[in-house]
Amino acid sequence: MRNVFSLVFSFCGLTVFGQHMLPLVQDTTGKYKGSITLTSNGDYASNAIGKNIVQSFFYGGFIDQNMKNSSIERLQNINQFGLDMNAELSFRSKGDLTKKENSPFYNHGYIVQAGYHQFSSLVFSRDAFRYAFEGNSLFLGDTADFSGTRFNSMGYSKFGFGIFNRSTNNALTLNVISLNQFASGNMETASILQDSQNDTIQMDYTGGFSFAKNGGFSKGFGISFDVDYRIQTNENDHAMTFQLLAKNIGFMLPTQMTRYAADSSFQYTGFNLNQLVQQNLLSTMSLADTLGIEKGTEKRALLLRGFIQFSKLVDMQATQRIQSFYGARMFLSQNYIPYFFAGVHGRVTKHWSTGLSASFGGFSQLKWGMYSSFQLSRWNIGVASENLFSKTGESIILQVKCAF
Amino acid sequence: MKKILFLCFLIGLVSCKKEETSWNIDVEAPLLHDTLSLKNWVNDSTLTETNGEIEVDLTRTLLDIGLSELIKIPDTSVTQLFSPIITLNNIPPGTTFVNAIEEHAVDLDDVQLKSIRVFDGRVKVKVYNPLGTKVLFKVQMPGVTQNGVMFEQNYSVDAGSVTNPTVQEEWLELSNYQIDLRGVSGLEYNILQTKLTLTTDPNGVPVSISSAYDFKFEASLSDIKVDYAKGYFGSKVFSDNANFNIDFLNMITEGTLDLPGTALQITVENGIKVPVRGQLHYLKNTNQLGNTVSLTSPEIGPNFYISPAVGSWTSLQSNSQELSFDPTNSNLESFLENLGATNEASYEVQLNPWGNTTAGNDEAFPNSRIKVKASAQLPLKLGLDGLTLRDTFDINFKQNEANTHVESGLIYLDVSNAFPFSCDPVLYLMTEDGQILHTLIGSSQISSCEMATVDPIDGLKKQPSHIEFNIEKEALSDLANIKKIIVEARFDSPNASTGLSEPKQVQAKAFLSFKLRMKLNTKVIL
Repeated sequence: MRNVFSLVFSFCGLTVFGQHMLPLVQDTTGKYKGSITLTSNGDYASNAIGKNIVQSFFYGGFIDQNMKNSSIERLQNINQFGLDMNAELSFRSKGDLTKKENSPFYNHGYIVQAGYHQFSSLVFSRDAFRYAFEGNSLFLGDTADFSGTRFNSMGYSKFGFGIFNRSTNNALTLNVISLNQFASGNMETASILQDSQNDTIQMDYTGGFSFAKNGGFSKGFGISFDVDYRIQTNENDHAMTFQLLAKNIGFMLPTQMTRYAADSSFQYTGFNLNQLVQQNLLSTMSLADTLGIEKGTEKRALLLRGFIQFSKLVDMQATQRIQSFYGARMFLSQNYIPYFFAGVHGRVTKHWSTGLSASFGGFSQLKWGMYSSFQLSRWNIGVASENLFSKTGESIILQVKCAF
Repeated sequence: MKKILFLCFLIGLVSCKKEETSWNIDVEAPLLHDTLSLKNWVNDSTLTETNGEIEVDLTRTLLDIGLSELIKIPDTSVTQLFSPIITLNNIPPGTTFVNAIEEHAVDLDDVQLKSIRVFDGRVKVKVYNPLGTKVLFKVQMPGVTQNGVMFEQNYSVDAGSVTNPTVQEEWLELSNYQIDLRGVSGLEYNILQTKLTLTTDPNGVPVSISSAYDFKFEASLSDIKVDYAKGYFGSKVFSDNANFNIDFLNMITEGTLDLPGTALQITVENGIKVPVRGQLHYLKNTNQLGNTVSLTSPEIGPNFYISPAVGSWTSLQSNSQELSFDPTNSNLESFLENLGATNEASYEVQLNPWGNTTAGNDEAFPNSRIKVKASAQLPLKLGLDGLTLRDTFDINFKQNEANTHVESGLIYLDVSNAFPFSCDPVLYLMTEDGQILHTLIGSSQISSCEMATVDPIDGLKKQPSHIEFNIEKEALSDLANIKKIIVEARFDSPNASTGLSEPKQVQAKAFLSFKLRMKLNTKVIL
């Protein structure tokens, strides 16, 4: 049942990765006038947090100690978790933009696309995970260090119009962006010391948290562009195509934010009887004051969490049955490490191609992937995963393409 | 399009979320910490230490009266009138008419005062001019002096008429005035004197005055309080059934307290130069169970007499009479060991029991007081045998099991006890109407310091104890219904060898320090 939900979830919710992730194919719909492509992607990965824990957040469920222990065994001093979900519908028309041969837009078609993107990333310390999932008991007589913990989450919708060269498939698309959700936080330094007798809790912290303030669906506007640039080469009489792809490269105009910041320390030793009798206990308001948390507002521009990818593509019209593909990807997020991938593509039958991939980086380490692509007359259906066997992440990519 | 996509995305998310995400964490934190010394227990009494033994000197003042309660000067108005018998025609400007001194009696019942000093009070002077020209009024009160100068006020009152005289009034402070109440002859008492002098306008025209013209002044004394008085203060009786409560004792629900070597004194102190009679009718107390014990002693019932104070002003010395009660002349021990929270003392104090035997020379000064005090000396050598204190507190904790909530908990108490008493604590969790839903019994007792050896650093015996209260899931499930908590503590003063309760001396500088901490198993629900 969960897999069905996953499928529906991914179908409903996700992105464009069919165009830029595995399988990476050169356009095979040359004889048609245009195409409509629905691509969706759901991908999360971590170098520590088990997918059974993440699935508990997605589908609900109890996170037991065994699940925690499995993740704890993988914890390093600094750990990552990332989530990328998106869906995009794209219409490509090969109809001429102009008949004038001397026009720069001669031999160009146009693209209309719309989609929704959600990108979240989290970097956290070993102690932050254990504090959150096990509590503070195990830290008695010790210091829990949260320094370096930070997170960022952004959700936005886009609507774009672009052009592409019918011969080379080079494309440029300009998008209007509507910010739907944004939150970020960081703890530059943060620690909690609790003595072994449980007499004193000493907290030292420097950090902040901010989120987009305005209510409603749209919290701000911005612009971005997508670039698809193909490079044709020959090696050993075999044509090869490389692709430089940049997606969602842009920014949000200055957006109103609510910000909480603190650079303080606090010691708690419990209350004494006089405080109890006088009920001079901490109220919510005075708690913020006591902890030295300041609330304010700010306006700032935001960089979109787009990515740049360079890769060798698979040519579906090539004569050889086995092809290789490889490349590298980098999201514009400081929590993301460069992602490298490579794989082999095989044409099993006229209508069915499949492949295997290996990748390293992003939010996790080594991952194995697999895909299959079915060509049925005007329809192309692709199902892929960049992360099949990992205990710390999942990935599913769906693409449905119809040429006409 | 984008909204449709986003809607699909949301539906996908929500449809997947069939149950909450949850996990358990253990949270530990300190809750309370404090150190209670003897000062915390007897904050209204004096602790004295003799040879390392502590004694509580507990004193309550049952009566404390001074001059303002003994001598009350009623608000008094006096009037003096000048009206010619015959018509006087063509009186030249500046003619003066001097009225004779008039005497006015002040009603003070059987009190006969010769002299007083006012420390607070005022007088309203009001003059009436019925003449068609301006008149100068000189108002004097012979015998009312300040620093030897007689009270005198002068008023220039504009023209008026017989039917509508011009009125002028003024409020004046009388503080620090001496008032001689012996009258013109100097042999009387409770007499105020006044004198009125009138002068026609020196710059006016000749006037005629007939018998229809009433030149008048009124002096109204109000809120007069005195800090010195001389005379005969009467034979007034002050009696009272004084109640005083010791609420702490109301929390004792069972058990016994052994208080050896106690003493109680009732003292009547006379700071007034007047003979005083005193009488203690009874002294009794009632404990939380309703048992009443009266103090019985030959000292209770008979009159006793106290001589007048001696000296004056700064040299005044009180005389006093003390009624002493101890185990040899009374049932004091059983009276105190009844642990009466409600105490009642009935007594009376009378001035001049034989009448005016001082020939009107009773005298009271600013620092003159008549006091009745009860004081007890309780050596802190107590024998506690199952003495049980119980107190109830309102609480209002809520948690929703659909949200993050505590599933079970442990509250633990670490105590360092330098008192020679052990304590078994129990907590009862109750509904609003008093139904006990859960009982939390401490895992062990707070041990008596008798179980410890003397710490060479501070010379005290101190016994550490660790007590745990388990809060089960069932109790937490009932949290919404729990509105009261009873804290019950059973005290004993055990012998370290036999374990039997016996009177134990409390160490000087004894204390009880504690730290209350919690460990909660919490279910986090998102």
